[in-house]
Amino acid sequence: MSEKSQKKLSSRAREFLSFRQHPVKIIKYMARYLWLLLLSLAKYLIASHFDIKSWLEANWFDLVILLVIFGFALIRWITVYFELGEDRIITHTGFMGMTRTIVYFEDITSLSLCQGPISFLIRNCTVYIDTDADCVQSTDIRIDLTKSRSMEIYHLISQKAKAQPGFVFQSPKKQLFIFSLLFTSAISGTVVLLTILYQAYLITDKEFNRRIFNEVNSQIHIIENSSIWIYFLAAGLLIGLIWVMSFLSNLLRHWDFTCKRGRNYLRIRSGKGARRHHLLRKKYLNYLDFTQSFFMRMFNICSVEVSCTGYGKRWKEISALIPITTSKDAVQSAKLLAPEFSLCKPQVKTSKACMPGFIVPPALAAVIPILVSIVMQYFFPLRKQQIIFIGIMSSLPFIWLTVVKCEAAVTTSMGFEGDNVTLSYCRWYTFHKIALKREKITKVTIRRNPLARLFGTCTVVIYTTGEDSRKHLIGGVNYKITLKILKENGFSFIADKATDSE
Amino acid sequence: MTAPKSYRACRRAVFWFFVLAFGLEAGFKSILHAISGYVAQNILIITDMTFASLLILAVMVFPVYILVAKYEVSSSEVRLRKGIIILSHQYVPLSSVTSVTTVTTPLSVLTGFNFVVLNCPGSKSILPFVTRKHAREIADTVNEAIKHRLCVSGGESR
Repeated sequence: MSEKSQKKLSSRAREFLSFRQHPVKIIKYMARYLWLLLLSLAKYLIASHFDIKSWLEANWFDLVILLVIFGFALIRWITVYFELGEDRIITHTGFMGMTRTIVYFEDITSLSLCQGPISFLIRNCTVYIDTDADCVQSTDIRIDLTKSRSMEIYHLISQKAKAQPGFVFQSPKKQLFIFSLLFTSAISGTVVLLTILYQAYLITDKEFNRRIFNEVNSQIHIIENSSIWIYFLAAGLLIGLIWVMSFLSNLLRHWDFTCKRGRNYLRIRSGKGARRHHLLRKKYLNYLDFTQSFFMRMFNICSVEVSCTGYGKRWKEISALIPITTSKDAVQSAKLLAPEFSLCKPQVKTSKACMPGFIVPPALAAVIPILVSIVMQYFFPLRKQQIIFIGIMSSLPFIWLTVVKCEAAVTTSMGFEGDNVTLSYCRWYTFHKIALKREKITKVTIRRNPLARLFGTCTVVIYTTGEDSRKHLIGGVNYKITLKILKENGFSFIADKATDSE
Repeated sequence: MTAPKSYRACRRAVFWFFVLAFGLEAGFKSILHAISGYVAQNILIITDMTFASLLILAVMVFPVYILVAKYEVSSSEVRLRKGIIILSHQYVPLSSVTSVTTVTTPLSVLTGFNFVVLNCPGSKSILPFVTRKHAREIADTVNEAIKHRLCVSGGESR
């Protein structure tokens, strides 16, 4: 083969590979339970003392299946590819690359480059491209590429997003530590679970001691209480370990968090080792959400999340714009990062008549388990201790909810100012302050039950543009004032002159 | 902007709902009768009573729902009034509606079981139990509004 044809061949091969996914995708395409087959083959090979001939004779059918599966994965890897145009990306995915998806760079709402720890080692990177085309929660394009290739796409799309000389938000390490601690899945749940386990251990231990004293000496060996603590300890350790792992992964995912403002995009980067890059198109940002738990509210700190199609919907991902900072800083930083959103003064707040509506339901829910436990004690006097414990533990979350709702009853509000809308409300245990544009509102509902009609109040439900049909519920606001404010801002609930069709 | 046109839920739907409810009750009773040899008598009685009471509740509540339901459609917005105990007033700006779905069931000219669904990114609004004629009329108005919006935005972008 001449040198020229060799060069031509190698350049063709390079071109072929540059538009294919990372070769690790071949393994990903292979059946998930293939490893079971491989294990059994390895087992036979070891059992036959590495006698390849007899091993081949005995397992030829398994090997053929293995080859067929690998062949299919290889064909799929070859047929699934992408093309890059000046203003668009075209992917050929699905069975034999039959599904062709064209996404214009102009229409991209968010682009995410994600790497896990294993992907980081093999230099693999998953590219997610989302648009507002799909209302359902699915990614428009998802391809696994090499890190360098995915960065090329990132830079190509973000060409217009050259960072403006200006504000860059960088989260301090200490604050990120607190953020990860707060957002690690159910810290309070883990504490409650560990408490329950410990209490259950104490009760069971006492119960066994009582039984030992009651049983005759010859039957003591049946009870086996000596090892009961091991099970509780193991369960506790397991829960603790899972929590620590979740906390660490959360911390590493948001380490070195920076958010840079570009002309058209917001560039978000985070992660230690395995870094994540996100590009959010500014015109497709739906709203900013200033989120606080009760404790965060007490210490005047808050986290700002952003709603943008595709961002924060992956597993264990939080759509953070500002992970955590003081409330004052959060408002100022959000103003610099996304100046198109601004918070406005509340025009209507929860009326005093509606305060019981916030507090009574969780308070009732807290009382019910205690009442049930009192009744149960009457029927099962021997199990008094266990019943009291279960009753108190079950009512604790509702008591806490009552405390949270007391605060929510005085902070729920709604305000319009020009094109900006601010909604403050509390959903379960979390306080939200939403800053959005009026044009992002897709539906407004006013709900009134007989009691609300009596007190002249209502509940306003505001639906906004987004992937999920998330609703913002402003409860217990004055009906007449709300109608007036909504009418002034283009949401007139009373028609001027309606012609009846019947 | 055209003046809003008001639509009410189809009253015929109440009659056909009653017919459907009686049919369901009869069907459920015959199923219970068929399995009576295999299931304990008290379980059968409890199941029958629960189903019957739910059906009676539905029969009592449905006419109220139909009486309350009212829809106002104009070229720029849709207003809905629905509910039984909790009354809900909805306002949907047509600028946010991306598509409209009309669901017509077999014999819907007779029964009035037609539904119009307004699809917006992030929310959905259903106009239930309208006559077939009204369903088409509403869908046409909404489609016209969408078409007009697209023409305007297309012109602006050009």
